[in-house]
Amino acid sequence: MTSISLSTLDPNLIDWVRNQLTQDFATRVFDAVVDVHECMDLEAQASVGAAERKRL
Amino acid sequence: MLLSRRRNLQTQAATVVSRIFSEKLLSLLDGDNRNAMLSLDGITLLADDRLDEEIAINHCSRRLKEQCDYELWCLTQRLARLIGVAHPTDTKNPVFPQTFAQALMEAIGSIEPNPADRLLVFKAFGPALLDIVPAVLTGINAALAARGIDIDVGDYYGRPVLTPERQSPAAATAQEIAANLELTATLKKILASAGHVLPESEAEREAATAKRALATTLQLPAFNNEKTAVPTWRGTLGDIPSGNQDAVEHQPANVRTLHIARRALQDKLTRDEQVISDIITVMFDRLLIDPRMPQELREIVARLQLPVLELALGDRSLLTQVHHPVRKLIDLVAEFGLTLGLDNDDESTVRSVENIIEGLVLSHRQLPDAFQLAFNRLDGFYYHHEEAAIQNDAKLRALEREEAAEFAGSQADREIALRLQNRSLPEPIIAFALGAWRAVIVNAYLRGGASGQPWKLALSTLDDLVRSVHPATEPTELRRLASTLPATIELLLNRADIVGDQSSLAADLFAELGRASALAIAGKWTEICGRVFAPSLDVLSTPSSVVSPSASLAAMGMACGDWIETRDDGIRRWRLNWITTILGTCVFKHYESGTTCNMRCDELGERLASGSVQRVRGLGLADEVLSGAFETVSRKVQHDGSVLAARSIGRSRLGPPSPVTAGRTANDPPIPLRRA
Repeated sequence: MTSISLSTLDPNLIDWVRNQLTQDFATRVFDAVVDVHECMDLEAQASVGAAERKRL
Repeated sequence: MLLSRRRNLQTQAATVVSRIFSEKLLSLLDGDNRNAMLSLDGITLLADDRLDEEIAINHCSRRLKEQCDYELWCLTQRLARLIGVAHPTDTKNPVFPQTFAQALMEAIGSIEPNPADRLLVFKAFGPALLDIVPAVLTGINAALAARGIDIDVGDYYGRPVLTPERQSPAAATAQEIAANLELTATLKKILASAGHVLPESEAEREAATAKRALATTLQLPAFNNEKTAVPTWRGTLGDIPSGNQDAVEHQPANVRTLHIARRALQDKLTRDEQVISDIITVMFDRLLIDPRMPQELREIVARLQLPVLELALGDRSLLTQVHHPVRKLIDLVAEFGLTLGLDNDDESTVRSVENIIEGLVLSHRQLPDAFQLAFNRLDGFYYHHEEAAIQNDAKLRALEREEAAEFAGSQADREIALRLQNRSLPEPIIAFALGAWRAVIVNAYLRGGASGQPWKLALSTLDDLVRSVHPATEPTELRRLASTLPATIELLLNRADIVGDQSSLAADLFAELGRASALAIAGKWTEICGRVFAPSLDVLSTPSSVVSPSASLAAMGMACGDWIETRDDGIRRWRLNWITTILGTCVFKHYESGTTCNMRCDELGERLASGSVQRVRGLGLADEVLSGAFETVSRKVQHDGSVLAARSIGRSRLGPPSPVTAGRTANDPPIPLRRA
């Protein structure tokens, strides 16, 4: 295995990795928000329902 | 708030990931050792809410690491190559899952100022992160591989690999829906023969229930007395002792709790409720004597009797849904005991299971999903115990060692062949390289893999050996090699503990090396006799792209802890306990007989596709005992029907026949039942 750092051969490569990682993660988080929001809504409804049943 | 500000969340998440990545990268490049030492100045007290966030981030990072261990390892290796450093520790690794968890928490903090709500949103993101982070790492790995940044995947082998968690199926399969409908029909037949007439609308609703997603069946029982909301039997049930303070017929009271309950509830239950109560009673009678239910856990399981009866009286989905949480919980308790092989030394483990069940018993009336929560808690507890138990399994360790040696052997053969091929070498050198030195290289691989120092030293020594008899080598280098090589070889042979035939090969080598070196230094190359070594093509072939065994298993939709059923020698259920990290051998165990069966991953795939092996939900204990209970109660109902019929014949001289027994006689065949 080579001991030469590849980033010395292409110094932009590490920046490219950082940008890809950052953008991909942020986009996926954005896409997941709708599902997460729905789950939180359902959980909130379930806990209200449970409290109501307990009261009854 | 979350929906309306999701664009901010995206921007913040990107900013924070980029910042943390850069900080860790700088720390790596500078060789910063700040984390290695602790000083009092660096220790600060965290506010409670901040501490909760730290705990949540750490917990989430651990789960993510378990989920994407292979992808993480590959990307870390690539990154290390890219910046020219050794594999970094977790705390310094810019792509360690903590980077993402931390970034998400900070991003949520930017849109949600309330700490409690922030934590709530972060936790709600947990399941999504388990998909997001592996996908991000896989994407970057693929992009870097496409740019030619390759790594030696073989180095991954031999690492302690975390067992992937078994996946819980998101939706019921067609097979399960069919089984649910069959159970519903069977229950209806039993109730009908007991005199219960199902109104048409109710029948339709029950059929629909079988198809409904499981979550909807977890709601609190819809009590049948709408005016009072709570049925009369519920109070009586609460008064029945379920502890083991009483003794009935030399048995602890908790084993007989349901029999006591049946007597107490006799006049409070409707006829169909009595049938359901009978089914649950017989189910527990069978369960508590089944050899698959470990003795140490029987009394704990017995604590479930009243909660399960109460649940079944209000919500029949336990009887008609094969994937009901109660069935899953019962199977899991049995599986837990079987796989861990509990004995008297495991008191704390048993006590932990007891606490989980006790929590359920106390909370089932208030919590709609108490059984599911207990299942989740036990599953999480079990997962970590199982990991430790399997790590200690001597047979599995031996199998791993055997496969590691096989893999190291093939790696060694390839490296030797690459160095010796098409060269004219004295026979003792070839024999030594293929014999004793191969053993040294295998040993070196097992000690540190292809990136370890022993491996590099063993191969560079072999290079020196070949160069010491090569005409292109400079005379000064030949003299250096002649003086140092025998000592190096001897040292490495001793370190690898090479004995027997291999040491005689070494003796031949040293004799030949002394002669050949003298001739080489004198420039008499033609007097060094040799033959051209030609390795077989198989040895030289480049290993095909290696796929992680866990990933292959996941591609089949399976993971350790899953169960299969074979029918070669009677119906047998096997648990997938382990998959080896090198060759991907799946190790299955049949607990009733203690038999173990090993199957390669590809063979498992073929057998699953051909149907000779079938994936099943679990141990199947709850299904079996319930099915048995259905049969027993069906016979009892028919017996009661015949007795009533006989009585009504006697009474018929006085009045019309009872509607309960109309149309059935004592000679009618029993209601046909099939196993779920």
